[in-house]
Amino acid sequence: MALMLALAARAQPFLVTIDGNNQSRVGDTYDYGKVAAGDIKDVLFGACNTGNVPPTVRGVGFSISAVYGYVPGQCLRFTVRFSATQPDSYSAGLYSTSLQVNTINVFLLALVLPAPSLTVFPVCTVDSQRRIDFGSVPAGTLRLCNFSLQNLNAQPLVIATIAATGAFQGPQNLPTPFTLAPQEAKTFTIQVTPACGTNSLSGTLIVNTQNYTLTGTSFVPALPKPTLTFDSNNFASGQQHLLTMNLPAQAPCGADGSVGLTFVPAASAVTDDPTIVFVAVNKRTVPFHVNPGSTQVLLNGQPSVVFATGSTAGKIGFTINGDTSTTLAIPPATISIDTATASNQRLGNLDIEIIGYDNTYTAGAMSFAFLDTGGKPIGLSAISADFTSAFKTYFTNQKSGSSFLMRVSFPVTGDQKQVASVQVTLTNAAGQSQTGALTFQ
Amino acid sequence: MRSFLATALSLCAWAQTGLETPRIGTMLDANGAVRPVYGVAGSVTVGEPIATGILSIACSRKICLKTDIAALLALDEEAAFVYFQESKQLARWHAGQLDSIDFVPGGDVLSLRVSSGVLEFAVRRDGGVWIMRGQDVIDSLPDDAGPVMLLTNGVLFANAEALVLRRPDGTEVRFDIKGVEALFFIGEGYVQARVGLSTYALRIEPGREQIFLLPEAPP
Repeated sequence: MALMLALAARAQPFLVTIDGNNQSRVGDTYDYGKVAAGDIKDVLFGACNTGNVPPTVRGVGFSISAVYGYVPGQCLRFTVRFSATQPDSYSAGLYSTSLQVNTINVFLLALVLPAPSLTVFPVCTVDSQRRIDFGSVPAGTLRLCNFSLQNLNAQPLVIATIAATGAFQGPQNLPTPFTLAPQEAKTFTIQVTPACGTNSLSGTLIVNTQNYTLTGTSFVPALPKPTLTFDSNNFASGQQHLLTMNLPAQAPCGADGSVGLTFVPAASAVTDDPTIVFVAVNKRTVPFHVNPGSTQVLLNGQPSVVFATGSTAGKIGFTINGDTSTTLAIPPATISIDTATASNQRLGNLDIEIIGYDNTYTAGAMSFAFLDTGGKPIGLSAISADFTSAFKTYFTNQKSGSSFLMRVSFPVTGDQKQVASVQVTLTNAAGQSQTGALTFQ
Repeated sequence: MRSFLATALSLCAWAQTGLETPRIGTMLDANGAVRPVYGVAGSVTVGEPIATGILSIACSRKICLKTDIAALLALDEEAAFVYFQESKQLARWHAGQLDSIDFVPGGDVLSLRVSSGVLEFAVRRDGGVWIMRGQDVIDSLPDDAGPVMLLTNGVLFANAEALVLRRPDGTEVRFDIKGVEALFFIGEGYVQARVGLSTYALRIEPGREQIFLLPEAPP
């Protein structure tokens, strides 16, 4: 009676297959299915209620390739590998030998089919684990790899399936099924175009029952070197121009960056000119963005951006992501006169007001030629004045480029209405400018 | 005469000068801040806000009016007409005082100006845009004109394609600016045109017409 109770308490041994967290109980047979000649097929089993002694396998092509650590109370895990080079039907016995009673006896079956030989041509490579590497592929660009599928068997070989999965596509123009005669070969291509932002590529090439792992890596390619174009070939102070940015080829991926302005004044009197900016943002940089497949670069979200040339001679540089791209020369110029007026409304004074800019910062020397109401010059020559010191002081504290509003007053006695007009000549390092005749009013 | 002139000119040796930063005017930026604009046409800087929360401005050399409700402004020396667009009321501002004026424009008022002391206005009615002096039609604009600004020396109006400066003799200067939403006087000889988040300054002095972009805010 005691013996019978002990036997009843012993659990029934059984075999399971293990796929991740899933276990499936195995009956009297387990079929490996169709296996291509030369292929390896591993199946992970668990021998349950058999203790820590692994089962044995007896039969051609089958072998226990790995036994994993035994955990009491759990099934003993082990891998049975099948591989054979000759097409045929194969079988083997899987036995548990640890128990004298209720042992496991399972028949393992496999059918080996003839398989084609696959050749991978550069630039792709294949390793012993049948991993085909497409290499490092710039995102947004097409990478093609060439393959050859040959029947090295003595009999015709039907190719029922040939396809790429995952990130890979192909083959094109190779409809299945088709038959390869002995020694016949067919070439085909598999392609991949990595999406922007993808780092690794994975997929599978399936040829009948054979699977080849397709791999590769991807990177964001450098943007084609942009070109900056302007709405003019002539540049001077006091202007606004349009800057446009284009790519010589389509951008494979979207990209962002910045375009910058730099300025080196020709005059030593100043170190910068704050009026030289991208006007819309009032800054020296604007962001750019290019969409995938586009050659046009958006500057601050627009097809072009306005920049001001300021009021200082020198060199305006344009940088793309910090690298100098183009430099524009703003030449020294004579004093630019924006407006000029003359007034005799203040008793005892003739007042002249001139608004302009001096992009050389050398203004100061001036002459004033007065005409009477009869149109004749007053005095033997124009009146000279030198305001160099005043201009130097003014420019030192100026924060709006070289623009200035100058008021000159000439004290007079008598009837100042007899002085009809004045012509002012302003001199700087680039030459002379004249106001034209300013009528006192 | 000659002797007087010689005397007068003998004093010129003591000519005095003063230098300062030129100021184009006062702009209204996209955020409703009123900012001084320094420099010369095409090369300017903008200063810190002198007022915020503003919807309309009109500036001349003498005065600069600002309102925090939508209004049309017409400067008249040191006074101004103010048309409140929401309440459709006209008032005259002078010496810091606002006096209501009876006004029946008969349509949507687009702009005001004072000519020889008389108020003129542009109004959209009966499918057209008319320039009125009292009850008299003195001119008309294209039906699609708007915004409109009546100038001392002409009229400025926008249409779907451009900003048009029409002189009294009928000649026009067109600026390829689309989508103008508002026009303001910002200084002597300058008008501001707002297009979305961009602000243009238009020089309207005859023979020196020029348009340029204004910086929107200090760096």
